[in-house]
Amino acid sequence: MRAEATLSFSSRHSGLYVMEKENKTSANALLHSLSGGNMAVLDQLYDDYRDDFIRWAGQRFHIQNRDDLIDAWHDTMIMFYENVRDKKLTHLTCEVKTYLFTIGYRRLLKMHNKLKRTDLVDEFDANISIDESINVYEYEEVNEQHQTILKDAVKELPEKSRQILVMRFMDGKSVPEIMKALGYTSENAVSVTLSRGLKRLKEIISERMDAEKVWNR
Amino acid sequence: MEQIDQSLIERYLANELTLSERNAVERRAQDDAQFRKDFAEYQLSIEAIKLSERDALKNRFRQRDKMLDQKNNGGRQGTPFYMLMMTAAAVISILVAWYFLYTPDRTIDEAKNETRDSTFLVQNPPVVIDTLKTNKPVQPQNPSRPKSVKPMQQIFAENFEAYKDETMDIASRSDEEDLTPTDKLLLNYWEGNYKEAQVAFNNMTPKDRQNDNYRFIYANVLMSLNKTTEAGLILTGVQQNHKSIYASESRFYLGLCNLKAGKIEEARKNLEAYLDDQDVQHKEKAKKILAALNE
Repeated sequence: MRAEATLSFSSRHSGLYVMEKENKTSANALLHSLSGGNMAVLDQLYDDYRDDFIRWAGQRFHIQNRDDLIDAWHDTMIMFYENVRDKKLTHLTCEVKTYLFTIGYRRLLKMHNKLKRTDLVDEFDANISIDESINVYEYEEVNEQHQTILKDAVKELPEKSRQILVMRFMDGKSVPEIMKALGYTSENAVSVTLSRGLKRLKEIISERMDAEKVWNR
Repeated sequence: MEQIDQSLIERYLANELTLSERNAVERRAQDDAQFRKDFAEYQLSIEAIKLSERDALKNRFRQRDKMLDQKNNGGRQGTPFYMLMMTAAAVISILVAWYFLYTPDRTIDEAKNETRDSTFLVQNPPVVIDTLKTNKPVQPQNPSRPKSVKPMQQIFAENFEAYKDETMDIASRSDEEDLTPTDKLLLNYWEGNYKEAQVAFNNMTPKDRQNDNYRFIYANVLMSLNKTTEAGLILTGVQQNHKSIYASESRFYLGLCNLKAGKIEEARKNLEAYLDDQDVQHKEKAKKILAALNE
């Protein structure tokens, strides 16, 4: 499940060019940097390609509503970030812009298919070749009612617990790494906070799901 | 649920089990109804964290959207940029045509055949850049630009110092164990650890990140990291909202960002407005910069 190849950042995009130059590192190192939590890389990519994407997708999909396009761009960047963070994407076979636009294309296509506008596929493929071998991880949509319950449950956790859970299960950090990053004095303290936090979260969700009678799993 | 089971599931969810251990967990989930329920609930908990992180990212992107839109609209003021450019080009063409066609004492040929005594002309030395020794693209030499850009950067460097006052010192407020991202922002900022302060700001809750007082501090962090464009956009917002206790001070720092970007008129305007306020910290510096700009 790994997308492989070489990432070549376009030096036309001055921001990335400068970043690349300043860090004296390859484009793959930028992916590595992002997977290590350097969010400035994500911000830079977001800024550099947002307007291009909005223009391109607006024309290609005949979408007038700018908010729809912005939403699609948000989802695109989130999917890209999650791919990198979860180490599903370590290097690319195409330019990063192509990869991002491929994700965005599939996201918009999904939206259009819901509106029964499947004719757009041919139009798109005829003009811009999408490499089907580019593996794009797409997240599954959880239904809205569940989403609210789940997100509200996380908000009820103490900040420290939430932070540790994110570092452990999203960022893939080990207990010693978390201990160091958050300035704990023992691994045991991290493990205890982690276990309590996860257990508490599970309990909150379970209670809410039962209360809402939506527990079908 | 036994502690050992929870620990096993935690390691499963953190992808730390070997293949055989994973298979064992999955088999047990098939056979043991209670374990299956707990396992599913833990998986849902991870899903909850993931969703909440997505929300945080969306908020981050919305903030960037505001900055980008503000930046885009700043130069265009509602009229499409290309329309302005087209209009300007049309006006220039008409003026040039009028100059050559309707000025009775000057013809197009005369304009082309200006003869000048070359004796006193100072010629620029030929541009010879050995591209084998450098990866940088060859840039045309422009003798006038560096003159205006370098002093502005010097003025910036001489006068920029991250804003600090005693209210920002959190050293006496809390133990390090209990530090929130907001505390970390303040602590690292106070101690001059700007990269760590930037990380802390990004870890703050969306609500705190919208707070103009923290945004002012963050703008100072960015300026310290030489990211003055983004800092300028944030300071413009702080200035316009006028909710921050640092709203007046933000004018001075916005002026410095303007200077760094070579926007001298905007810098002058902001620094003059800054001096209108009696109770500000960098009055002398602002006066000094204005004097330098007026030289």
